[in-house]
Amino acid sequence: MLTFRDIPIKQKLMVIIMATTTVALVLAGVGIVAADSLLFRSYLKRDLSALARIAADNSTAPLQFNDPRVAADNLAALRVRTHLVAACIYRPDGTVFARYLRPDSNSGCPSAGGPDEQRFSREGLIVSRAIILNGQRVGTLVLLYDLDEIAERMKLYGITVLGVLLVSTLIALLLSTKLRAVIATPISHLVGATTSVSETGDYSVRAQRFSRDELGVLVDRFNEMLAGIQSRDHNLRTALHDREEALRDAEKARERFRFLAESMPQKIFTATPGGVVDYYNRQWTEYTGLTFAQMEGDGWKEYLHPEDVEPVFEVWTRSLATGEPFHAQQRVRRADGAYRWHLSRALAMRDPQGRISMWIGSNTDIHEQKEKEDELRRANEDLQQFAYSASHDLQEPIRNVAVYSEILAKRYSNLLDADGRQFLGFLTEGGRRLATLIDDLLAYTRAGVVESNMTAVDSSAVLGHAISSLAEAIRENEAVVTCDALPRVHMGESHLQQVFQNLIGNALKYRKEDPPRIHISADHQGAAWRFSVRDNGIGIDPHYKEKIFGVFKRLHRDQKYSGTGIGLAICQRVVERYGGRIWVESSPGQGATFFFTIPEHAPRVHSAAV
Amino acid sequence: MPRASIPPPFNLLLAEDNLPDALLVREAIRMENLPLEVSIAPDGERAIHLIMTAEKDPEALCPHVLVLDINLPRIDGFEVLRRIRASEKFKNLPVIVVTSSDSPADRRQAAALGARYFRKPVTYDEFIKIGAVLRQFLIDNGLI
Repeated sequence: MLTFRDIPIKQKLMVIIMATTTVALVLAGVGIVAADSLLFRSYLKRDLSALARIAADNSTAPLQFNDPRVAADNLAALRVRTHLVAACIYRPDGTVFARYLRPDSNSGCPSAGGPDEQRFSREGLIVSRAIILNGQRVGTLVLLYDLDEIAERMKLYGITVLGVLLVSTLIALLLSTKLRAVIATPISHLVGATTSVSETGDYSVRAQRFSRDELGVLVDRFNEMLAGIQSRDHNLRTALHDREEALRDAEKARERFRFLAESMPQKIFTATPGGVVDYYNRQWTEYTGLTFAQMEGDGWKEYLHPEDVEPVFEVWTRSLATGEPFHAQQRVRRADGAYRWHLSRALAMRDPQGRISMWIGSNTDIHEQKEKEDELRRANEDLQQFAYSASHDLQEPIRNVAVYSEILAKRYSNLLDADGRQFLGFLTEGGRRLATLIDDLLAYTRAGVVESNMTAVDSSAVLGHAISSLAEAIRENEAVVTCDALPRVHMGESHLQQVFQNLIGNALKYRKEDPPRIHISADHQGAAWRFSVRDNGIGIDPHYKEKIFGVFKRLHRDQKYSGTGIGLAICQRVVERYGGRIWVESSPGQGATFFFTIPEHAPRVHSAAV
Repeated sequence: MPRASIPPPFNLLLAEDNLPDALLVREAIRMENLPLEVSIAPDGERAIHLIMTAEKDPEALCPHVLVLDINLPRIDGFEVLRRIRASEKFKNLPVIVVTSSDSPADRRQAAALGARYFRKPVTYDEFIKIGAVLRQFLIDNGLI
């Protein structure tokens, strides 16, 4: 059963209006009737008092002359007041002197009360009035008035109120039918809109606004809310769509990666950002003879050579901490128990926020290459040692030739003719030149050896040493050597000095007429420092810019450019030994700028004491 | 030109296998008029023998200065130097390493063993400067 709360707003409004109207009218009616009744009673009292006074005044003479008949006639004149039931005159002794009784009355005279009083009794309103003659009370007049008039008035009022109630209820009903629409229609529309949204899920629906009142505001807010929801719904749908698409793409990418990984000859693995290996391709299981379950997580320690576990773990841990590429050479055990050298690399894959999402790594069998490299390295070291010993041993006899031919020339030249002296000169000069060449060869050999226990050196200080060594040449050439702030680099101090010295020395040597101006600077490029030595000298034909780095390659036979032509070869050997490169940018007459790079981090090198 | 006061001669042991170089060192000493008696050991073994004999025998010739080539036959110069530094009597012997080598490793090793370093030059005039170097060396070591 529907309660008041559950009935539609239209009906609720009607009930409220009708109930309010009825209650108001009934209360108003009751109030009016009650007030009128009170007023009327008061009026009756006043009216009857006046009547009693007049009647009392008229009764003094009959009482004086003791003529009850006249008194009764006087009283009978009061019959025009139809509601007067009785009028009686009492003598002072309380006996009735004269009276008038309405014909239909069946009661007698009302008892006389006090000399002047008005009181309502069951029979009606009783009014007593003393009859005074010459200041003396000669009698009392008592009137009894029935209250039927009040009842009649109340009845009339009741009918009027009821009539008004009926008419006003009717009008209220009609009015409310019209007016309730003002409130109920917008609400109905609002309800319609919400129902439509909830049933269809279409947030583009809008409720119609009918007014600027609270309902209008409610509709506006509701519409704004709908717009907000619509926009969020749209964004949500777009995001969902994008996410679905991304998931599809990711799945596709995963499939593609897996296919690629499985079809590659390399051993591929992936690891979580924390470094736990979570995927190995088929090549791994085939090569190691281990199952994925045996290799996953820390299982890689199983197949790695025991000597490689710790260093590789250290490098791997460092990469995990820094996010830098992992790079290691390691021995991996084959199913038959043989260990083969592998080059292992892994790169961190990052999400758009730059966070590492996974590591992807590959292992390439470099066993043959590694063996050949080792062989080559040993051969190189042997060759280097041989070159060093050979040139060292060569120095002694050459010095003998150079110094003693000079002594001969000094002490015995008078025993020789002009040809003999010239030939001796050739011998001395040849010996010296040979000694210089061997010195250079030795320097070149040493340039190929990277110092062990290398620490970072301050390249500004090293440049300072190089400039000091060249102080005399700088002064003679009136050269100006300037430099910017230079970094600390991982490089043997003597090697760096050798490079600076050779490059600045060349800049001094291959000068133009103007005093040489040489500037040294360095900038950071990727994972390396790039040094530059710029001069304003004669420059180099681009055609020769590779050739000049060859051993004993000289572009000028001219005596004014002395030297064996090994300086740049030494520079190149030093720089390349440290993992850098050297090149020149120049054009003839425009000066030259030599560049060389040195990796920021210390290279892993083999060392030999030479 | 003779000096005003001639100090007592000191013994210089020259460990050198290359006779032309040994002659040049002697010529430099003579030209610099240094109060040195030069004895030559042509190999490392001979140099050690002379030192060890001097350590045991107070009558034997006692070197005050050693001029040492590195590239010596039998036992190389650094080994000779290490043994001298290990001896009680000669651990503080003034030593100049005179060699053709320009290797930084050799220079470092010589310095580590407390020896002066002189690289043999390829011209007579430069070579003969070893006389002046020796004079300064004797002064530095309080011998003259």
